[in-house]
Amino acid sequence: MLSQYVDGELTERQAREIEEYVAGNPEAARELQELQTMKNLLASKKRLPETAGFWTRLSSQIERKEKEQENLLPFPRRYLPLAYATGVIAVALVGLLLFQQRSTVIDYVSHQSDLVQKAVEDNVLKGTLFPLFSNVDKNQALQFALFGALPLDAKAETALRVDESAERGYRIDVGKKSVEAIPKVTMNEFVSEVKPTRRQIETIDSVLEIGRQRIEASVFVAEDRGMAIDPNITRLNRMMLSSIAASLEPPQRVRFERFLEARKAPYMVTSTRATAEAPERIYHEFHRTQRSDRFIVVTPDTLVMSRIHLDIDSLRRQAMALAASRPRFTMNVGGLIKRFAEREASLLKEFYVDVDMPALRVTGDSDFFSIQIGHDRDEALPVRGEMWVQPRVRPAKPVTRDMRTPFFNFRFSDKESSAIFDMEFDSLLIRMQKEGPEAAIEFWLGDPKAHGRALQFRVGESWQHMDSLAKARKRSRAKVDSLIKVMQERQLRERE
Amino acid sequence: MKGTSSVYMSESGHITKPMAGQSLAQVVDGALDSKSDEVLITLFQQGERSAFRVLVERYQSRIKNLIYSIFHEPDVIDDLAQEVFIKAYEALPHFRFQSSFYTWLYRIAVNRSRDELRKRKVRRLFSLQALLESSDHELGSKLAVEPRDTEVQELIASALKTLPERFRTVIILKDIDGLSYEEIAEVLQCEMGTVKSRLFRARAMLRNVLKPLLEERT
Repeated sequence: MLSQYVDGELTERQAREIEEYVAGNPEAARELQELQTMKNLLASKKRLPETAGFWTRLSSQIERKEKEQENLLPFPRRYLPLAYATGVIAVALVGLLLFQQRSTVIDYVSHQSDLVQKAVEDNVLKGTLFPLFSNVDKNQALQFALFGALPLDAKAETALRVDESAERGYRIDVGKKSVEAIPKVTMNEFVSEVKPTRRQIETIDSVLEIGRQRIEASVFVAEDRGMAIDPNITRLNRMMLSSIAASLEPPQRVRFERFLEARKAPYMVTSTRATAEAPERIYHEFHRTQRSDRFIVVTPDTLVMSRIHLDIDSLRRQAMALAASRPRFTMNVGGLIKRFAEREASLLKEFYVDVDMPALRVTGDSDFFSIQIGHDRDEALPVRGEMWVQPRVRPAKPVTRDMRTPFFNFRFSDKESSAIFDMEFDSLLIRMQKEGPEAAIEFWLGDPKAHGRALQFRVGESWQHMDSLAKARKRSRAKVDSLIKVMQERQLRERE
Repeated sequence: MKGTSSVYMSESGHITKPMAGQSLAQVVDGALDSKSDEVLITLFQQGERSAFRVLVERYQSRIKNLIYSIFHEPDVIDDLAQEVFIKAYEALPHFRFQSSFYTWLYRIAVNRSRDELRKRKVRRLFSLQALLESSDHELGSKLAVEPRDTEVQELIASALKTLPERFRTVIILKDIDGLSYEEIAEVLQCEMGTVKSRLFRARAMLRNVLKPLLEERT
């Protein structure tokens, strides 16, 4: 009522009642006075000075908009070249990077670099560049985090898939072949299986939202003329997954690992941190990760790394305007892939791009193309920051005890529980020696009585899976449990 | 924007609609400034595009101030205000006179500001803690010494910023823009009761934040 009194919005009678009440109540009188002061202070708030040129700018924007609308209908494909579509968009092709003078292909390219530049300009910049993934929803973002794949059309007949565990470095696949079984996954499933708290869900929502925005700003298509991809998208999914894992407490992480495993996601949770990370730190880490204005630009004629500055907001607006005016409009890369096929029966191009970028390679056929970045892991783009998940790589050669490897990941799981350790190999050996020879052997070989259990350890890149039935000594299940408990406790203590 | 007429801009930046013979603008030119909002809108709907300029000039300052109060960031004002008026330009042909033009325009501005805030939410979340801590701290230290008048403005702005959007907007509309409860309900498209209760809560929050300043002034 005091609030309404101050606003003069009370009836005469109500106002009188308030006045009487205030007269006999010093506390209320003070409150009233403070409210009045506050109202006066707000009313005295300085107004902005008038600015010149507002109308001039507005009218030219309106004019441009109307022209766009007119152009849109009869000539959709010429829907304003990007360069002047809006004054806001600044697309600058700063220049193609120098190519190494190593192979014949490269020689060809370097001699033809003017042609390459022209091809890029003709194909990409003179078309309208649209974000390919402007409608990714939360579930799709989650799906991308788990599997690195995004459907390119409503029927999911084509997809984009990033694969950081590819034999020859990172890989981005576009087209029909990349569709192969992207398992459906929803936030609801995640919530019911992993059981995050409300606050954690908020954090994860934000992570997915940041990821969604990154996805949107990572892949652009210029109709059938070209495609620009931020190579960092190959690690985006892992970063998203790692951020989700980081928001979870250890028991939830165990459930999350099971969630991933059940869906055959190519990653596993490996962090053994005793507590979840604070949301602010998670966002901070995420924001800190690489983004660049350097895109892989693929056109039917060329494959280059190129610096492109894009204003995602204005591009999205344009795309939405276009979609609104053409109900059947769908963004797809079918045309582009087809043009690839038209140009060359079998597409195979390889370019070594200088500076600090790894080699690029594109292969493809009539309904698919694949871009490879780098030939091996060392050469490929490094992942910065702490990762809470690791690729679930297939076991390679058996690892012997003699093998000198600095890091050692260890995972123990059965039907009820799952524990993950990572530690330095040497320290593990020392610890096992301290526990005595028995412990060491047990730890390595597991227990045949522990039905359904498996021990897995990881050295470097390869996973060892041990069910140990053949070699194990007969030991009680309790002993394995106690050993694991000791290890776990120690590790937690050390981390603290 | 549908419609058959195109907009042309003369060198002075004045929008005119070229027509064979006499245009409406020529008929009413010079007198437009004195026309009421309703008349201007009707003229606009009949194809007289220059009427829009008068509306823009009449309200741009209020809209910019409203946006400034909500964001308190000089950089965003012009862009957002432009977007608000473009939206108004596009929607004006369908204006049905069910509310006054300026509450309708305010509604566009409030909704646009909300969109912008929502868009920033993730970014905001990211540093929310830091922001809260720093602004509380700053506010506290500023309030500890007697503020000069120029600083009072800053204080009010930072205090307003600590309020959640729905409370911030209602108090801005009431105390800075001087709208009535009924008009606020129209802008926010909510019940009068909601306006009253939000206003009450907004004031309680703001009073709490500004306590040292208020105590010193009363």
